[in-house]
Amino acid sequence: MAQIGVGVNEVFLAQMRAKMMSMALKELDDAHAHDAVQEALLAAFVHQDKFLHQSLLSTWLFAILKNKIRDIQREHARQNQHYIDADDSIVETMFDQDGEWHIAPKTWQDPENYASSFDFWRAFDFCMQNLPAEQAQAFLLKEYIELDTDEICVQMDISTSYFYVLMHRARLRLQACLGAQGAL
Amino acid sequence: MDKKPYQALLKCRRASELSSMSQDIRISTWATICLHTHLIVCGNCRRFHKGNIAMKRAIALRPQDKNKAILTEK
Repeated sequence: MAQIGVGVNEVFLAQMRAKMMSMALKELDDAHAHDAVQEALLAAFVHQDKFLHQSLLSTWLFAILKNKIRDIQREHARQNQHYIDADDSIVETMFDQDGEWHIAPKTWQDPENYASSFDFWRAFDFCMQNLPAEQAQAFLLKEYIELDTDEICVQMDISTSYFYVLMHRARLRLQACLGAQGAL
Repeated sequence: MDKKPYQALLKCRRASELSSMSQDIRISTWATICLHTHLIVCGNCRRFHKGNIAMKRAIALRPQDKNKAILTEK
């Protein structure tokens, strides 16, 4: 980085970094803002030959940062899109067009064996974390907090029939995931 | 519950919905008959249904300290 222009030193970089962070934080959360600044600085370093000497170094860095922020936001939008699609496709993944099992469920042992198994709960928590957020929330409220269905629907602001859809998908996903993890 | 969609012969997809639902509410007598008739003849759905029951039971038996971890993480 020290090769970029004259007068670039660590003090200047630290100042730039702070300014870039405050700009990135207006658009992104902490971790992603940090990533964006890091990537912008790295990109500046890698592409230093493209630096036009007539423009100020700081202007150039902020232009790169803006692009990085936009990239990250676009990626977020894309992932959220993917999230919703994945949410809707579990039934299509598990069943074929005729409504027959596409991926056969695995046999469960005695639940008492699982309850005391550290490995089972580690796999289970991993599978829970991989559930789409709504499904995880519905499942947690129902099976762990043991709230009434009506209460859950009020809390989550969903209809009863959608609650059953969420629970059905959650159970399909959890069983498939636990099977794939070799936890059963 | 409407009888027509079941016609006593369920597709596995519908049977899995009823299996899941039966964990959350008392499903109608007709739906119960349809589900269990299907379970007699379908090994895959039987495994899924037993899995749902076992999962509920395992969670109820889960040691409390391990419970806490998942609740704080979410």
